[in-house]
Amino acid sequence: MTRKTTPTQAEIEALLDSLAESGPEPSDALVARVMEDALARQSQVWQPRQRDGFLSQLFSALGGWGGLGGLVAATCAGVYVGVSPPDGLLNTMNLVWVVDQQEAFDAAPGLTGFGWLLEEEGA
Amino acid sequence: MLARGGLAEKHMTMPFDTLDDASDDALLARYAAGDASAARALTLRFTPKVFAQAYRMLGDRAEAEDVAQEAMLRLWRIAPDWKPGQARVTTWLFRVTSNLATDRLRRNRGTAIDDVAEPQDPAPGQEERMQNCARLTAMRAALAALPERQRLALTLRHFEGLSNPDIAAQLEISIEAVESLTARAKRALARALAPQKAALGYTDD
Repeated sequence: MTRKTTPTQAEIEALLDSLAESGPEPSDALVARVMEDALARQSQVWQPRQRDGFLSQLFSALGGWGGLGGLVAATCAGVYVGVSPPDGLLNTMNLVWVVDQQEAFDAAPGLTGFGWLLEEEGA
Repeated sequence: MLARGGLAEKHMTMPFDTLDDASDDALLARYAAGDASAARALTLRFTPKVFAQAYRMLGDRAEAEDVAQEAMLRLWRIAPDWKPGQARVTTWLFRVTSNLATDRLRRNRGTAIDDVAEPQDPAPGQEERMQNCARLTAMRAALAALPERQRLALTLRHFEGLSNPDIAAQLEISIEAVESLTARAKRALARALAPQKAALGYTDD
């Protein structure tokens, strides 16, 4: 009686085999999609490493565009203050380019004034 | 195989046709190393198998394509971490595909039989064709209800044509365990299909 209601082993195997026969070929579109995924994934993993030259390492070490912008601004400010110092700030450029040695010696000793040498000679 | 030359030498310089001889592991390693021709070779090697398996389990072309694409995507993701020699790529893909297809079938369990697409191979008569379709649909649902190991053991045997020792090696279990899994799976399938037997038009044998 059970044989009539329950499929036999042979019937089960025959069904499995007919499932196995139903394996169609993939469409070209599917193959193209899979290939696209493969290459996209590959470039995701690989692109950052390929661009890792010395300059790009230095660039990111300095903090990228933000860091670089700050550095440029600070450099410009430094050059500006050096060339055209505001009132009240010691004019270091003049200290370096001493034109009138006497004046520099009297007023503000220049870096190239060597005041101590003159003092020694005068003594 | 890998032993043929240095890794750098093999990159991009290997003629295209020799990729067909490369082992699955070697191809996967070259894919992970950024070799685009390995991506192509792997796609062409595995997509037909994965798609056919998904179709057998799902019986629907569009669904099978989705599952095949997803299974292959998982292969691309795991490629950099793949440990050669630990598992076979084919078995790994078979398992992933089987589980993805099963999840989909279980999710769609409420779908009426009418909504399930019919197989595309031509059948003799309309009635017989519908009956065949219904039988296969019932079989797919019963397969999806099996525990993973039973399902894998049975489908590796019938879909891939593997012998019991091969299945044992791939699932890392004993041959006796494979026999037991297969026998239990067939009994479970028979029980699951019993209520539908009369409706599905089995002939007395």
